[in-house]
Amino acid sequence: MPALPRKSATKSPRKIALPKLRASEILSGLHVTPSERKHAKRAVAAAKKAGAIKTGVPKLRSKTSELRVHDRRLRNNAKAKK
Amino acid sequence: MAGSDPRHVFINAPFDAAYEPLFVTLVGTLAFLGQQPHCVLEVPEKGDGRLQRILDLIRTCRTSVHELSRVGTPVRFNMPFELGLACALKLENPAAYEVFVLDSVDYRLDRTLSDYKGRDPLIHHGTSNGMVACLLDTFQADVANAPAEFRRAVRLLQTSANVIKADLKATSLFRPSLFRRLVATATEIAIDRGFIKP
Repeated sequence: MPALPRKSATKSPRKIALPKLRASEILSGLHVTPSERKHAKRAVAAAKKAGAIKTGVPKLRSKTSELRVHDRRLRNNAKAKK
Repeated sequence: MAGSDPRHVFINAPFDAAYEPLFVTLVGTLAFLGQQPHCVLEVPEKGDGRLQRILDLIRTCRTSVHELSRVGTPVRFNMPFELGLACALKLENPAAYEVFVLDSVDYRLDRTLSDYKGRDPLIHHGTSNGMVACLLDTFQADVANAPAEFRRAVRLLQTSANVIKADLKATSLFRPSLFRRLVATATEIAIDRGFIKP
């Protein structure tokens, strides 16, 4: 008796496999000019920089926690001296 | 008339400010998948009406993606109209065309376009992450951990798109030169992250 298709196999969404283009083919097909491509490169660089700055900013701590850190450092230093 | 190109995807989407992030995601994800996105922004208005040229553009794209989430006021008939054109081409030649419909609300299309019943629309719930998921449900991606990688790349593309808009002092992305720049930016990110070859 032929095996029935699995339920999950019949229900899985159909995906289409299309050939992949190279970046140069995508851009030439849309008539992207070299200056537009240059602008795009600059925009990506600027966006990366903006993201890096955002993640590089240290978190502001409350005054209490700053003091707590300071106290811990003092305690640790005192321990180390002993 | 030349046949459809399997690597060309026609985007039929509303050109309003609220849709911009989803448009950026749609264009970007298609570029990350190595597809060539096309939309009516490429069709210039020469005074003789754009209908024939829009039809020619749809005809050259094997796949078309139609956004039907704009159902409120002001009423927009362009998207359902272009879906009709794409469906007519598919009915004539079923093997040559693939038509996909996007919406933001589950089962709404059964009421707004009951003639289309029987086909499942792709529901993005109005979010960029939802849009990436919809496109990955539809197109095969050969990128490891594609959903997370594409979501990260889309975030960078959104920031880059804002930089482009600010550079050109543009109020909207829906202009022909900005569309080309957006695709160029998406391909730069795709090369950088190894999604496609240069």
